[in-house]
Amino acid sequence: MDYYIELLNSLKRGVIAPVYLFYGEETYLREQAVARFKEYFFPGRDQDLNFDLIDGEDAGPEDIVARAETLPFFAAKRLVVVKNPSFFKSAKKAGKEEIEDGEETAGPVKETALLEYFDNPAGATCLIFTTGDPVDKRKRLFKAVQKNGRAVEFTCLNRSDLSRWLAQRARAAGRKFAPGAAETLLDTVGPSLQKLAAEMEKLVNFTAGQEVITPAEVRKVCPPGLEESIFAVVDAVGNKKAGEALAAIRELLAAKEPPFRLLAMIIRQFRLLLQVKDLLGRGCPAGQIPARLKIHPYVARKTSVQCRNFSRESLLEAFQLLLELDESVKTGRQEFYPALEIFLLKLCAGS
Amino acid sequence: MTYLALYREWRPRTFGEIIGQEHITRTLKNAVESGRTGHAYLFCGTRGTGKTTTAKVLAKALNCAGREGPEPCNRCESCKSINEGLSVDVIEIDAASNRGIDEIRDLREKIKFAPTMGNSRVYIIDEVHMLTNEAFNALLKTLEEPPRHAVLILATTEPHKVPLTILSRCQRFDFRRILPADMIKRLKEVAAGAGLEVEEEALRLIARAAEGGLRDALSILDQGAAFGGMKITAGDVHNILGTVRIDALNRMAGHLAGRETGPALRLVAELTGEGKDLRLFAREMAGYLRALLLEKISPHAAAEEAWGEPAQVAGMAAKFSKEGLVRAVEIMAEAEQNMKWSAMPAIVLELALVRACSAGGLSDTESLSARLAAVEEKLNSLAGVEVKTPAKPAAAPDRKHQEAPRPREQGLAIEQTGPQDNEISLEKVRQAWFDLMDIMRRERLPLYHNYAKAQPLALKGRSLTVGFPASDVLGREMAERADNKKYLEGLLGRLLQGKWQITFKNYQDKTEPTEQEPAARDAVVEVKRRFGGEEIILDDEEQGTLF
Repeated sequence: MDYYIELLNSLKRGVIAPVYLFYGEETYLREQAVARFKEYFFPGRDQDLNFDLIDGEDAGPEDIVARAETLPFFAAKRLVVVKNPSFFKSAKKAGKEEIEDGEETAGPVKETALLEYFDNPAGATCLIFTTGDPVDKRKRLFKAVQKNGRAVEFTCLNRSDLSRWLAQRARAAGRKFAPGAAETLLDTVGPSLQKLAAEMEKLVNFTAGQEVITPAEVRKVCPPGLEESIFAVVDAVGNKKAGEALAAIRELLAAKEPPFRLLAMIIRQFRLLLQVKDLLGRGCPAGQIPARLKIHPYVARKTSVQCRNFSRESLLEAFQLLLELDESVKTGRQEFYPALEIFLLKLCAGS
Repeated sequence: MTYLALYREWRPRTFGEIIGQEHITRTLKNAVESGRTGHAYLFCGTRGTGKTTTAKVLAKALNCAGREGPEPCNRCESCKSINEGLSVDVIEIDAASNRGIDEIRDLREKIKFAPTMGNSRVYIIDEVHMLTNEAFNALLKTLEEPPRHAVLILATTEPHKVPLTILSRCQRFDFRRILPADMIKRLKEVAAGAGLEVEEEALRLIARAAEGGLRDALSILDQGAAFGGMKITAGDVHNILGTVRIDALNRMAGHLAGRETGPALRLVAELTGEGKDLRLFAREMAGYLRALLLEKISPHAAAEEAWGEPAQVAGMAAKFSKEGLVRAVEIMAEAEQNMKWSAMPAIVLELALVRACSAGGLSDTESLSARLAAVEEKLNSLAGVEVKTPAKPAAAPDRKHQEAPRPREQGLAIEQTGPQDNEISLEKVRQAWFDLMDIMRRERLPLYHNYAKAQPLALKGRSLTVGFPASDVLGREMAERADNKKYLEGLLGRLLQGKWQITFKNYQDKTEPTEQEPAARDAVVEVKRRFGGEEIILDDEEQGTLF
């Protein structure tokens, strides 16, 4: 989050570099940053003669340079934004694409135009490249941007920043999160601000006329991802609530989730349970589990909690049953849903 | 006016009429009212849950001139033209048949134009997951920079086929499957409106068969109306769906619980007589048994399955033991699969029912299978003798057969002696005798020949009297030698547990320890002597089922 705040602060002070490269997976903030620049240059206007939006997949470097070198029209500054340019990608990838396009020799030649521009940028133009693709930091083009302008990586926010962002969002809409609601939201949606923003929008609309957003409402409005649903199934099995587990499975199948993906996810969860149980049993600190098993901390936390509902024996038995289920379904001796239903019922019935 | 299918005639025209999707309609209504609608929506859910309907209502609400609150008026020009599908501002695209990049390019060209009548141009793209990759990319550009007046509503049954880049640009709404209770309510409304009379049970059946899709439910209702006139009974629905009445399932479950094999088989005959598809029956039976199991494990969780009155389901579940139900479910599920490949599915089903009937008593089936294994084993050795292959090579492959089931037989013996330790019947010893001879043949062949004519005569606790024919005095004397006697006692102990004492005796052929038909017995004894076979004594009931 710091990089974003710093960027905005320097914008407020009027410190503007001639060239920017915004890259990284946090799409929402990247777009917000571009919007802030636009707002700074052309306050209150959506379209402006001096604002140029270029699709980097269609436009070549000469084209971009030409537009950047155009003088502003009745204004002090011009803003040129290039979306999804391909020339910051690593050479290998870019090369491959060019071979496909049948112009393999054109690459380096084309880039020189940009390099020259970066060394001697037009004073009245602010040129912004923005891309969600990974960039190659060893490329001359990247280094040139760093030297003459600024390259900002937009990384995903950490959990506490996300919570703060959500709280702020809720405040702006006149809402408040009940205890646990923001966590539920983060758990179901994940760290992408873009998705969180969309879900927030839905939540705000859903809770029109009330102040507090409860966890139950979050669960009602926000569809959980596959992993989250599988957690819910295994949770229900752990708590011996066969009905809930089956309902969740039916829901997933109704959404046309491929059966074997479901099965693989269920098997994975039981494998994780066994691994985590084993590690905890041998005295491994909970904090080390994500690194040891190479899983997301959230998954590790969730799994450790689930562990308590299963004995080692029951987990091993479940694993064995899953193996048999997998085989019998794949060899056509059973159909997927009945087989899975029997498996879950057995698990809930056992001990 | 031409006939409109029920699901079209009764398609909801306002948010309020859409059932079972409160989390969506409430959100959208509030968004419309506050003017905070998004530019891109993704509606996903199973068929018949209201995706397209909601999309159309939203389109109307956005463009309605006479809107009061969030609901469209359905009276103004705009609403009417949308209802009739004539509006130029609301464009429905079926992505399943317009899936290429050209169609999407066309959309991008035209989406720029300002709306003619209302405030927004709404594009409803149905089955959006069918678009090609290139088309998705083109669509993404539009989603990234939508014109102010444009609203894109993407609808799909398979959201996991839509690229993440698209997903993250849309407000995603997941349509839930409609709960049977909600669906029954709606069906009642529609039936009343269309002047149909529908039995309660029929409604429940339709709700279950529709699996949460209201359009399916209404189609079945429509068929029912065509089939049964203005009054629709449960029987009509069963006829349409080809399913079996719940009472047949209930009766069958009752037979299984009561372990009444005969009535269960008669019920199958009855169903066959009615021309029901037996595989479908097996499938439903398996489903019903699973519902019972679910009820058994977590009561009242199965409510949404609508398998009939909850109390009835609970009552039936109570008749089974948990393990018995698990077995029965497995047997039925397996039978259903096997029926697919069988030329005579009826037999598979009947056998499965016979097995399921005895599923409660595990020991019965296990002992039966153990004894069947013994028969097979003997048959194998018998075959070996008949072709007169030299004894040793023939015995070698046999040994595997013979040795494999032994632990089971021992286990069986434990099972039988365990609870009633002192009551080993002569019958049991006689059965074990052949195993004993078998072992002896392998371990001490000379002794085997010596004992060939001997047989257990009487039993008192664990003292066994073994008889030799009157002519075979030598055999008795050989047997009485201390080491031989000890070996035999040990062998008995191995097979039947406990410490045994044996006395030997010569008996007159006439006093042979047999039942009423001496002639038949003689023949059997003779056969056994020649072939070394085993005689399995069956009681009457089992004779009935085996032969």
